[in-house]
Amino acid sequence: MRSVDEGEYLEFAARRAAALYRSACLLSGGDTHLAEDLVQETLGRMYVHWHKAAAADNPAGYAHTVLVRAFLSHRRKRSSTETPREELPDAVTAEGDATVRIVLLDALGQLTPRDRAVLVLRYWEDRSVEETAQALRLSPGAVRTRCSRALERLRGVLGDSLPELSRL
Amino acid sequence: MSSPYQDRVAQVLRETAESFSPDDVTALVQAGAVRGRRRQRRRRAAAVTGAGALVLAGTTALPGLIDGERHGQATTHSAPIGPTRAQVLAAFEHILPRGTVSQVRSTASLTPTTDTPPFVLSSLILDDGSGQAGFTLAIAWVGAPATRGSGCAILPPDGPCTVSGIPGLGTLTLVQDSSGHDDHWVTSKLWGAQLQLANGEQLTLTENNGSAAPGAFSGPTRNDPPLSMAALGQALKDPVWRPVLAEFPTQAELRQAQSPARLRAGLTVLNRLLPKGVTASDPTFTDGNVQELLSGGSGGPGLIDLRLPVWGWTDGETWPMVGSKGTFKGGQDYLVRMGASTSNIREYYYDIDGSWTSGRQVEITEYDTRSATAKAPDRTDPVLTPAELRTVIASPLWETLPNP
Repeated sequence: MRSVDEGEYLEFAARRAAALYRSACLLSGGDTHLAEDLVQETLGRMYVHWHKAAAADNPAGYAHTVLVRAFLSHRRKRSSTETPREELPDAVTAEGDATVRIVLLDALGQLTPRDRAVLVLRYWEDRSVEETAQALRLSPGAVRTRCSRALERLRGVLGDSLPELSRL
Repeated sequence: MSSPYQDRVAQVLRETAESFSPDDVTALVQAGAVRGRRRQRRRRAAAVTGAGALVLAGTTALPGLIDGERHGQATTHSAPIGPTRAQVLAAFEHILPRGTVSQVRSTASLTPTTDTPPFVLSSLILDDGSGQAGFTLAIAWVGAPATRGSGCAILPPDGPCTVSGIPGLGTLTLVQDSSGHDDHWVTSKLWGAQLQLANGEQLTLTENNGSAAPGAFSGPTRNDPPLSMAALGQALKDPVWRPVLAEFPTQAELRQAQSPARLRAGLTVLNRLLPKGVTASDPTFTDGNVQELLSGGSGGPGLIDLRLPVWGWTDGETWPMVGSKGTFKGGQDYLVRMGASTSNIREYYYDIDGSWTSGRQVEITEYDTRSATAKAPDRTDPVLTPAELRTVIASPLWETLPNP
């Protein structure tokens, strides 16, 4: 990468790192260490493909797509060695309704990685069904099905612990 | 069209996501860039190897440190986290004038904590034919204690100090201390240069005209240190640092590699290796290590602390305790350090490192107290004897741990 490109890359990365980190925290179910790793991996991949990423219509969206794919790839690699998390994540701030967030993260953690990715893309990143499908290499129909199923599972997992959610 | 339930999910997802914020965006970005450079190097290396052009690699000039493109040496293997001791010392010696090098010491943070980010500290004595001179090199992220401050504070501000910006690279500080400062600084001249890179990495090089490393007791052996101030600054801009800096780990990388799952596996191995009659209880996982209480023999329980460093090294001689070094069967090295803490907080403890040829490292510290911060011993000795610790650390079971 030429120095001018490296400067552009670093500027882009510095601007997007926090947003990527937040998405990664949702994808990882609140595992901040994994989230940092995913962001680093994403930025690493972006570095290698910076020319392509910079030329994209939406480099930020490109980065988030790379993040989701890095997450799914990570889950595939680790699925055979993972052990269940014994405690709830401790990185949620005490401000606001922390309980809701903790329960939500725990519930997200119980979804399949791909279902979690669908929810994060659709409802946190506000992507359309078509954009989500492209990011996850799924058909729009599959995204709708997964989204509906993930919402239902989320409702099922949350149960009575979030009455304000399950009532709706 | 979204339902109220979907809207609420979106709202809670937003609130939850926004409650997270990276501790250090700059470090995160730099760590990502480092990964990118590594990935790019591997791709290039693979491409070169695949084309059968590896023979040409040695004929390609390495661009300067401040050039934009960052090349690495062609290599077909993926190195573990961080530069190796040999890599750092080779770069260190490369920038020095020709001569005889002795008393080489080097240490790199084995288990960085929040207060001590990753660093390398190396020293040596060079004799270029005009007398001995001590050199010290520190590589660190900003804030590491090994760097002794920054800017003109890298040396006692007794002599001239210049700070200059280098476009696209960072800031270079050159300091001369020409008088000696206190009882520890009896060398008459101590010169230093520090390169503060924009990405947060810091290279500091000091030299003296004495027969001990800068900072240690020594008398003058020559009129001036070997390198002029200009040469000292130039040495830090040498392209030889490029691969070292590119490989230099971030705190986030090291911390992530110390996953709880890996520590749990390490604890399982440790407990399997405990001798008969010794029982373990109350495991506690903290950032980068796991502790538990051992019971056995007479006296109360004693704390044992396990760390599984993913990068770093320590030369035994630099550790301020009585120690012994040996080699396991099969070529693995171990280092046993035993001693009393000078702070008197930990009354007595054993500390042992195992460093395998595969790069795997295990660190165990054992206390004669139930807490690392206790002010009085709970038993006369730690539960495991040094011999038992050696048996534990030498077990091939450690090789079954998952890679970082």
